[in-house]
Amino acid sequence: MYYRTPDKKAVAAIGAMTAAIKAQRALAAEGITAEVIALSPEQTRRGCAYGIEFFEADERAVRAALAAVRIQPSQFISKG
Amino acid sequence: MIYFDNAATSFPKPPEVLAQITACICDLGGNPGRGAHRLSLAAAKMVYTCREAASTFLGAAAPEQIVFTQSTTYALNIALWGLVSEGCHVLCSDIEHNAVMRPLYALQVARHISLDSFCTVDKSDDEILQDIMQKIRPDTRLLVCTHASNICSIKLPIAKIGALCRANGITFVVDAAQSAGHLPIDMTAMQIDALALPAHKGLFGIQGCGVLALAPHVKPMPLVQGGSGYDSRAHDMPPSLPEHLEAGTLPTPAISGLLGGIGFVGSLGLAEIENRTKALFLAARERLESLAGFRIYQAAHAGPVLLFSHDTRSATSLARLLDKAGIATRAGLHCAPLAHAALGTPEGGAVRISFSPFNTLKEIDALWQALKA
Repeated sequence: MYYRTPDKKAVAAIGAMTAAIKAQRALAAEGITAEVIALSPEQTRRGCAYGIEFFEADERAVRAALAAVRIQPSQFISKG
Repeated sequence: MIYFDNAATSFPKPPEVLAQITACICDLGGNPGRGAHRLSLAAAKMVYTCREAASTFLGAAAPEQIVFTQSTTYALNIALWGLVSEGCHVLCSDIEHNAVMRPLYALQVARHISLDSFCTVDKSDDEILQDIMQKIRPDTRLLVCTHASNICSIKLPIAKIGALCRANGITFVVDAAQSAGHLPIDMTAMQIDALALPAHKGLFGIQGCGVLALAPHVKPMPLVQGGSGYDSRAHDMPPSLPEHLEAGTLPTPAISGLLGGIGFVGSLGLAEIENRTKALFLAARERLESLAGFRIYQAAHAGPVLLFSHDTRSATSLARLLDKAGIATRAGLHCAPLAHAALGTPEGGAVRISFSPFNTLKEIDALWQALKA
């Protein structure tokens, strides 16, 4: 176990806007707050992309909720 | 004006649809999937909500299986050009619209496909299925047909055809231009692989938006390439649906109208819509049968579309006469020359009257009075 700052944010890189909104709604259904954001093209191999930003403390729950709706983020980025 | 041309486009539109479109234009001014400022995101969320509504309404597997296109014709072209392979055999019905036939004719030239049609006119469901079974070949890869005719109220047994296609490994494409908003559609239960439909007819949206709903195992090649809002460095379209098939900016106001229209149809109910249009059909049929010289085609099939001709007066002259009396109808071949040939209409075609739940029996009387004069 390690301590996580409660307000520290993380981002799941998803790609398409449709999938990002689907992800956000899946998380909302689980009571997890998340925002759709645009990722910088520097952060992705294929150019512009969308992702969802959430509290890093929720990462495990986010991974599980996204897996349940068959969304596989290309990467999880800690916002430090 | 009495409007009996709802098979071309429905009119008037319900207040719910107009309110939805106005709110979209006033409040959701951004381009969905292009950036992440609040107006773009609000538009994208409305578009996703419409995908969810359409997915539920059509029995699709998930919202991302709903692809927005410019029209039904465009959706059918994506399905046919994207799924038909070189040299294969394709089946269609004998009452198809040119939105199906012209891509198939072009595929005969471009990809050397062979084409056969099955008979539907004056046939029972079992006879239709038997004819299909007789025409299936080892190289038959796709069957495309309308759910409901655009010139009369014939309906095809889509669920049974779907089961037959699935059992034979044939991709099943359905043109629901006239049935969406009139007949129940559950593409999963009916084993439909690709379903094309318009926003602006039975679903009371506006022109400029069509839908291609795809089963999860079906992924046509894109017909058009262009911006997708993400994966910008890739030379090809992104792999995931719906963006794979949605190059360029979406018709956001028309999508909002579709969202309002699905809500309207859902609240009124398909059974009530069917009851109203059948009652109008039966009243119109009775009035026309009381007049000398008129012939009604497929009169036993009551529904939202009625086709008639006259022994001595051309269809065009009848439509003009009705227009002068303030009644909008459509004369000619209705972009479905094969269907007219199958029904045996005159060379100049026939007059089509097509109903929406907003039409009234009083309007049918006005039609009768105008034709009687």
